[in-house]
Amino acid sequence: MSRHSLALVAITAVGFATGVISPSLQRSERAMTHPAGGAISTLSISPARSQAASGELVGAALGALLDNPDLAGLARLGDVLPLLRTEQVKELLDRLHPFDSDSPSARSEWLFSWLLTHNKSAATAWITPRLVALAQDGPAEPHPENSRWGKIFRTWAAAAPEEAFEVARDYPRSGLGGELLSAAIRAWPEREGSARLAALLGFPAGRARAGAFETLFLDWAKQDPNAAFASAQAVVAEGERDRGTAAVVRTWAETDAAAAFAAYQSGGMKDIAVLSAVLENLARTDPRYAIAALATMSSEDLSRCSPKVVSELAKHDPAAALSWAMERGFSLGRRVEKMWSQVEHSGGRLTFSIIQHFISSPLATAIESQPDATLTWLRALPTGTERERMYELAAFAARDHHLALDLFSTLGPEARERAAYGLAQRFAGTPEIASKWIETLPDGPVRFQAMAGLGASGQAAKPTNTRDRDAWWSGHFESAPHSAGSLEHLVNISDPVLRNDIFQRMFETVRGSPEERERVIDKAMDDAGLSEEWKRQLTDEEWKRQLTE
Amino acid sequence: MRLAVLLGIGFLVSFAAGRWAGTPSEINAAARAPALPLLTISASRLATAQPSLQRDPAATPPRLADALAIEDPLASAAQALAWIEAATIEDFRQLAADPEAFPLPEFRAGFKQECRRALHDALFDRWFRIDSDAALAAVLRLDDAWRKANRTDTGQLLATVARVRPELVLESQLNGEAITQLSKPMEVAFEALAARDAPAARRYLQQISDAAVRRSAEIIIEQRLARVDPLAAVAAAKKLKHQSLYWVALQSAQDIGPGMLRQVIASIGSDYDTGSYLSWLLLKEPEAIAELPGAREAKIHDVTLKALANQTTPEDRERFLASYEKLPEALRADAGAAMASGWARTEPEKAAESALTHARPEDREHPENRAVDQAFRRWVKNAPESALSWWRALPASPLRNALGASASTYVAEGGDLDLALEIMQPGASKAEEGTIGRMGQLLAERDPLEAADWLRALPPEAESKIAARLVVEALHRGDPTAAARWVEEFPAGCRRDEVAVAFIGQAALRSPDGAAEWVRTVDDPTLRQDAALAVYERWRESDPAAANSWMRALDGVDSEWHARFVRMMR
Repeated sequence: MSRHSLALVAITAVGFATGVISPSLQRSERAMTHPAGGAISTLSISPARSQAASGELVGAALGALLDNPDLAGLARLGDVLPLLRTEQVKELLDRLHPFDSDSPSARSEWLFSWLLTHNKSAATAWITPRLVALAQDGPAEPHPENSRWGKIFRTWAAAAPEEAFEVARDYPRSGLGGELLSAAIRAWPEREGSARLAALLGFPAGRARAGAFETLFLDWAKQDPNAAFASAQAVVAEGERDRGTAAVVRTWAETDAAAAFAAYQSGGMKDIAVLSAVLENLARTDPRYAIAALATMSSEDLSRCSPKVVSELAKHDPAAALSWAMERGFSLGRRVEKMWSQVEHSGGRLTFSIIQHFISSPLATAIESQPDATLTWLRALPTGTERERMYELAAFAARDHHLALDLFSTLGPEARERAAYGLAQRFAGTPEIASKWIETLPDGPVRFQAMAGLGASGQAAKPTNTRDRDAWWSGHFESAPHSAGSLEHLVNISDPVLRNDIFQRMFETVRGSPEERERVIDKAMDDAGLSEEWKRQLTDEEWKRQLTE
Repeated sequence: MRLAVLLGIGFLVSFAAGRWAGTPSEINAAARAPALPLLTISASRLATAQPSLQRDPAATPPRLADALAIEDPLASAAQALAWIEAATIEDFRQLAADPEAFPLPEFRAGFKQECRRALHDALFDRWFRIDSDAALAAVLRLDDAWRKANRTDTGQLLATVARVRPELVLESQLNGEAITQLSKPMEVAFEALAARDAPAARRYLQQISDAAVRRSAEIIIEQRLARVDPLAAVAAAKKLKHQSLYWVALQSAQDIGPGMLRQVIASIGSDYDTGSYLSWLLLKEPEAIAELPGAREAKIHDVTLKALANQTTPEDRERFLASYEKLPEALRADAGAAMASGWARTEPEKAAESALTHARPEDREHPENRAVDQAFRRWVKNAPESALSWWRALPASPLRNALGASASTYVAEGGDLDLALEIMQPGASKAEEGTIGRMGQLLAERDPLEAADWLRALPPEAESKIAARLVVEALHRGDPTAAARWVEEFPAGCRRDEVAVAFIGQAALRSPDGAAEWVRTVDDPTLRQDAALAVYERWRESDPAAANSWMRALDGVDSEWHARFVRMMR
């Protein structure tokens, strides 16, 4: 095509697009003043100005994308986008999401999807340098898989798995490389597990490949667990074999727990988390078998695997499950199954995090699934501190308000004081019931804790007396983020000791030199707009000492 | 009759707006509003409108519901527009008859709010053009129905009226009666009118007698205008003493360009913290920064700065480096690090060499070493061999040791743990706690016992709390009994307390009462407090009475903290 014809086509396209888009865009100040926007009103095209006009067209589209377009503008944008050259759409994306800027906007995500649908190679060319930059730094956010970036690159990898595979190959040790590889393998053109495994084995060994093994075997096990298990077992590298096998057995357990348990044993696995998951599923389908399996375990393994099994059994036969656990000294309350820490590179820094896996209380599961049978079991317990403890845990665990209050009413004074806070917190969705209940409580520590629980639940309340108001605010401060914004409400608390306790607790986690701590506190008080008198009261050591004495 | 209808409509607008704003005094004030101005506006609008009361029989526009069901928001917009342009009074009356079915479409992320807003604006614009009086009454009925149904989008309909017919809302509310607060529809109306006709918006200000309310309205108008004239916004911010106007002015100025931003910062002076904008300007016009007020004390957000630095051009970089020595020290260290980090994406060696010329090799923690550290880190991540070869050629110095420590975790992640250990020479800085922790984690993944030996052999001054935690967790995972023995045999001192706290945290998961026995073995009061909290939290879940009782009897911790904790125990 000659240059003249090209220019003519460009002029025609620009003229058409301008005609359709400019009426709405003229109303957009930002499009008219944005450095990239250009002046829409000057879009009268001559051949010599076709290139500039083309840029203005991008500016016009950008204006529609950046601003609050009207309906006609949106409709016309739909007409214009297909007319833009690939480079122009990429330019739009560049403007919407400048290189290495923060998380992309929803609008960028939409436009990228549009480009991916209409021109996959252009989308690949746009995203690749950004992925490289991300891989060089590590993710800027702790969990990129949940971010908009994560959605964008997974969408791309699913649409262009082979290209994603190649980008990942250059960064096999990065988290991003792993995410890309997993997404690519999941969308690999060859659907058979063995073909995908062969492709994966062509990738450099390391963190990314190990993660992708897990994805591959997880998907494979859903289709053909026997073949997946055999292939996972045949993987040479020990770490990859373990992750692959674990993925298969976990997935298998969801559909055939007995077969998964047999595979676990025959595979010589020693992964307590996998075993626990398998037994949990086994308890669902064959409780006796699950109990028998637990009986063969060491005390340490038994302690780790039993909570989930007990919870599962408690759904069917609460008395047997809870008694079995009690006899062995296992907790019937909520507990942390495992807790571990990690330090990771993230956005060029090292970040430290603590991860906790909670297991819900078997007693809560029992009372939720079989309230009558669980109550019968509770009533049959011998009178004493152990029975009182179980009632307290049950009151805390029961979701049904009436049942929780019934259990609460049987508790002794100290247990009621301990349980009132948590109980009131759970009334968050029904504040009227909570208020009614609290009104029945006499003044004293139980009522104080109940009112504090209401404050912690975030429910608005209109405490009628000073003590109730103090209680409500103390709960509020305990649950609310300790920001400068909440500090200003501290003056609502009348009891000076309580007020100071809360103030001190807010800054307990600030460690460092006394000067650093003082600086943080001063800033928070300034931000909250506290008066000088309040600042003095809250920070005067001698005054505090006198109060607490 | 017609007058009565319009008076009724005026009442409804005021009533709904007042209810929206929410205070009883406003409701009363609004409810007393006579509706004469509304009558005038409605009549004039009706006079100029050219309603198409009959549909062209040849055209077959889509059904609105079908148009809104299209997944592509742009295609959906086109179809919806076709329907709206052809819609008759009867169509609108049918729409208004069923509040539940009134269109509030769901679109894919990216366009949902904008499409809803654009749809309602277009819909209402047409509706008010062809059936002004009935439209307003119908919208108020719809709004009331939505409010009664507790819909989360309640208020959107009146906001739309305020956008498409701002004068209607302002006239109906500003009618000589004193108002004590701006209702939400009035806020929207002032903003919409300011965007379209600022003098008209300002004329309505004259009708507000309450100074505070007038100021609020004026701020809304100025905020809208600030988008096109940031300097005028600064003047308005000073006049109105309103901080957020400065922010809007700065945002708009940054959109316009560095020259405007410089002018705005200079014009703001010390009235507002311009730190984060200064950092952007620093990368774009470094030579201008020194003269700007507040530059020396500015606080910089380094993540933003780093992202901005990646968007600078080689020319920006040259200008920045040429001005480096003249820049305030506090600014240049952070900006230099960001610039070096961005440069090292493509030319790591040049970036590192350049940054080295500003570094202080004799001072391991000097802020101006951050630039070479950033450049070197990126280099090591992407091309470890050439980076390490450069590092090896550096003369021995505290800076060289710091760079080695920085690089070590990347080398370890690359699989060469032994080399990583060789180049890591930890210092005493708290900032290196993460590096030491990461190394401990990687070592523990390879061999917990080796990691345990390494931890014991770390220099006493090294910050090892995180590493202790990671190593103990790995030991405990493998063999809790052996882990307990190892902690028991650990030489006394601060690090022993760190490993004990880590062990207690793990032991408390299985047996809080057993872990409680260990708490007294922690000597440091602060660390003992950490250990006690770990036990208490776990114990409360299984036996609240025992946990509280144990906490009351706890000793060896800060007495003030302990008394406070016990007082506040639940």
